[in-house]
Amino acid sequence: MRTSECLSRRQLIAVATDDAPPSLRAHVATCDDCRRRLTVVEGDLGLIAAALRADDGLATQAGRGPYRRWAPAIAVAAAAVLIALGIGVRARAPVSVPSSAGESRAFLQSISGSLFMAQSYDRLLDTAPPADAEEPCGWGSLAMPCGAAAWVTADAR
Amino acid sequence: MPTDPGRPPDVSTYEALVEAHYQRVLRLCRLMLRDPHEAEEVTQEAFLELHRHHGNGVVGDWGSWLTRVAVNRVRDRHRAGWWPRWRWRTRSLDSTPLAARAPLPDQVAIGDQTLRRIRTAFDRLPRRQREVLTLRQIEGLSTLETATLLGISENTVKQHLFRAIEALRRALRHGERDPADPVST
Repeated sequence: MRTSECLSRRQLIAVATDDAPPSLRAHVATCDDCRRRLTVVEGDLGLIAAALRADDGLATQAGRGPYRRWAPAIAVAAAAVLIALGIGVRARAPVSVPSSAGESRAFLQSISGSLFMAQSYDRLLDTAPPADAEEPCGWGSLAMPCGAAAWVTADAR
Repeated sequence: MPTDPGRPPDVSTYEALVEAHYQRVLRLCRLMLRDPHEAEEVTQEAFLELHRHHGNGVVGDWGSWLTRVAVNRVRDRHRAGWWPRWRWRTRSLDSTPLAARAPLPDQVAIGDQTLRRIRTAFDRLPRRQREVLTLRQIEGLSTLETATLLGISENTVKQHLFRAIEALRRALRHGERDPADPVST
């Protein structure tokens, strides 16, 4: 018969682990129901201790192993995504496309200025030989006295 | 850990101490660290420490001394951070080889399913609860000894022990009604 003095689960566990005061143990000694429940708790504790004592080399790490194994791959994938996003943002930066002859000229001038530094596109236009000139293109003279220069200038005009 | 000052010094040879305590300390480290490689390392460190001290120290109980050294080493590992510990934690329970194919007597009595259920639940316990449960229920230390070793109060030890036992019993019952619950009449 259960009485108001019957032990809670916490108290039963305290008795089973020798942490309970004598008054609780005294109650268990006189109460059939608490004694039966204490036997169940003690049986569970025995099973738990036996399972943890069984020294069969099993690692007790089932809870975290599998996903930890993928952690480096996840880190690399995350880094790749970040890099791809960064490249994407840069690629979306506005690119000016020359639409008129004036803009084309300015564009070519800037390229010429960057490439040939000393001899700009203007000078190239001024000194361009006829389109049928036979002289080969020479890297020694940056004026490009060949058909290519005429093609460039004709296109720009 | 408090040792009895009146106890005569333990004069066991180093070899005898290794024979008597190596497996126990290894199991203790395994349970507290949850990693077989790291547990092996810590156990070897503890016995190296024993080797250094054995010749020149007077100790009442080398077994308790070893437990204390091992627990302190385990706690050092926990404090060392996640990276050194993570390096080793890559083997899952299923991929870890069994030491022997034949089931051990304990396993026969418990059953493989129950064994795994308990161990999985044990793995999921917070670190402090694992430590307290291991020292109290497996190593058989008293509440006071456990509290001293872990640097916490006795009440905290009792709290952690209750929670750990409750969690493992829930796993053991696997959703069934707990027969230890009071029957209302």
